[in-house]
Amino acid sequence: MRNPVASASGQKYLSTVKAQRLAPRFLCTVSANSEASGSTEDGVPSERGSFARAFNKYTGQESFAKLLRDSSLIRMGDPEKKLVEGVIYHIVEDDLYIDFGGKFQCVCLRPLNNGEVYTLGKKVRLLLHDMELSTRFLGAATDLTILEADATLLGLLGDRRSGSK
Amino acid sequence: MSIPAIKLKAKLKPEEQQVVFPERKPTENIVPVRELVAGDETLQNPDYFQVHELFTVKDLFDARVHLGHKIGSMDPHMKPFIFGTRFDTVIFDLDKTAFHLRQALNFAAHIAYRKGVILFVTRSAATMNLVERTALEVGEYAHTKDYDTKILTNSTTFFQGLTRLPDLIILLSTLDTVLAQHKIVADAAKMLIPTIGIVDSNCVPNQVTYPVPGNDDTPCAVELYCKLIKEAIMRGKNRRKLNDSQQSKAVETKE
Repeated sequence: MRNPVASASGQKYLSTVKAQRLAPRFLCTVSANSEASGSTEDGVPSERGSFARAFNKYTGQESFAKLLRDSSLIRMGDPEKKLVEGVIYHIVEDDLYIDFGGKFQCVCLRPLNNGEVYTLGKKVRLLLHDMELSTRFLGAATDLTILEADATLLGLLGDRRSGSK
Repeated sequence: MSIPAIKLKAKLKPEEQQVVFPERKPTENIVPVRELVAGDETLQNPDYFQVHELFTVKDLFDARVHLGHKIGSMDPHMKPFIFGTRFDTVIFDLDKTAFHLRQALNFAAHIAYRKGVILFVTRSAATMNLVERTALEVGEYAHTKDYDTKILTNSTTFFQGLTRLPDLIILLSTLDTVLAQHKIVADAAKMLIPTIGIVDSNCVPNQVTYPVPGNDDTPCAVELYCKLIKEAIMRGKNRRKLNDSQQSKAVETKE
């Protein structure tokens, strides 16, 4: 078992190994009782105290509702007209495939002006329009999706000309 | 107007019958299920291979498993698995996903323990390569190209010989194209082959034995599923290797 790690502030946190020993009874849910009781399937205790919340956060036992509430997806709100940071993970000639943390990637055309700087792994700024290009066409029973997000490439991250602070 | 009489075909006389069924006593070679279950140590614990410790809800969240498609393409059968929508984007309830994923991993581990043949299937171009590699690493099989119904429903003719069909089919995506479900889902149900399937918000979970509601499009989510499934299968296989070596040692010491 690892020794408790002391942080710079002097506060001690329990090692993850010890925390995991406490975890199993919350994570095993195969018995019928947990389903019947109507509690969350993970059995994670809903604690309101600040230490309990911090402990849950560091041991990776936060409830899904809490994770979602604090996530950047919720903080962002309406995806339209939002500035996001993405990473170029694939390039096909002039098409840049950029992952910005959503379900889908966006594909942007390499800018004509100073386009050589856009290489694999570069961080870029995007103006988001839609998280997924999916719409109902006339006569269709369900939406048709092209499995892509829609965003405008503004420039490299940290480039003053693209308007970043 | 008289109806013409229908002539019945003559039945075969007992001596003309070609197939002779042997007489069998009713209780021969049949062990009651409860005895089989009681004698097997792997069936005493609901989570014998401890698959619940392979992941946490936070791992699923970080891998973007909770992100679904838009509500316009949502199938009504997926409603029980959904937490809600955020600006038209469907969000999966990861507590439910975690439950279903544990069931699926537990099942996969048990099939692997019993030396079952496992087939990995997907038609997503982004993750095809990864799924094939995962299958290779666990020593099992993958089918990520065009699928023909005959390979399951008419296997003897297709492969020109007696064929052992997979004992489990793991679908990393249950869709063939965005509009059509992969035909292997229905065929597996016809051939009584259990399936584990990652079902996204635009998929139909009805014919999948162990549906796992979650994101099937983002590569990082599929990477997580492959990692967890690989770990569960390896636990089953390693346990089997251990038991076999223990048994062979016991036989040696007896001799």
